[in-house]
Amino acid sequence: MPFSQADLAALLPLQIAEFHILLTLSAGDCHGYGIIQDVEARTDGALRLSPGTLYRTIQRLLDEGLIEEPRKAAALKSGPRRRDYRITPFGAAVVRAEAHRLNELVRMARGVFRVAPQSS
Amino acid sequence: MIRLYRALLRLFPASFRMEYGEEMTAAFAQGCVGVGPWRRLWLLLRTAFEDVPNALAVHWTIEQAQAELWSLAARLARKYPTTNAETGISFFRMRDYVLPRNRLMLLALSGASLCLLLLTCANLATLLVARAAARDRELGVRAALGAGRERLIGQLITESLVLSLLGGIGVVLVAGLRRSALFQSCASHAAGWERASTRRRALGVAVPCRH
Repeated sequence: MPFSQADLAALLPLQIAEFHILLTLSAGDCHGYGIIQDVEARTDGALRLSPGTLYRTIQRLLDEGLIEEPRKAAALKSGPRRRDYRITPFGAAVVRAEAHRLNELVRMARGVFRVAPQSS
Repeated sequence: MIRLYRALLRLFPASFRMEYGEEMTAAFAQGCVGVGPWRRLWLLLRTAFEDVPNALAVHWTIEQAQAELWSLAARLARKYPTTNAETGISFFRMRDYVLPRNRLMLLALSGASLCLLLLTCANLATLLVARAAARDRELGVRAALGAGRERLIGQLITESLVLSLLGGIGVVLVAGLRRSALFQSCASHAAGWERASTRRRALGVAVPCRH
């Protein structure tokens, strides 16, 4: 489905949990607990998503079309506990746009720090 | 611990629990594997004091709600361009729409209710004083038998409170029964009145006033 820059901009900035979940799914499909582990490992334990936070965020990302459930119908039929999630092309574009936005912020901050004298 | 977690899950909105409850329980159970009791307790407390309030409390300002609706309209237009490209969502507070149109009627109704309440209070107070005066002999006999001043006052106050309480219960019951009929007759004149209800705050003022 085509999307415009305005569609991307409407979703930025992402919340920290949204950003990390999308980052995890950018590397491949993953289930809920796998996302929790991956985020915790990537942030050295600084961000530990609780199941409540994770699934509320997942619900929001699904509603916004940033992620999808590739085997939802089959999963609902067979009733397994684990459901995998996959990032959509729109979600991949949004997370890249967010990474770019953060990068620009850091670049600006570095420029300021270079100019401003360092206080002791 | 899992049982406690399942009990906490009952506090989440039902639709969310139906969709993700099993997965959340599984993720919680996996998070408890190989960790100490304090870590498990921390996970449970975090659910109780962070996740549950977050899931229940959706406090939006009108601007946030408007922004969310515009965003929703934009997404729908993108998803279904043939039907939704020209469609937007307008948003307004019900009270902003209803109040200006019916302000005079609401003020008149509130004034009438207040007058009626004050009239009832005055009437009831007069009746109670008259009744107490008529029981002069009875009170005298009680005092002669040894009842103190406090005991007599306590008796009169208790009688009044029981009477008012019974009256209050009756009023609440009648208000509940007659409300739908009353507002059905008003619904054509004032939009939104059909959803009117007896407010606890109003009862909290009216019932003690009677007492």
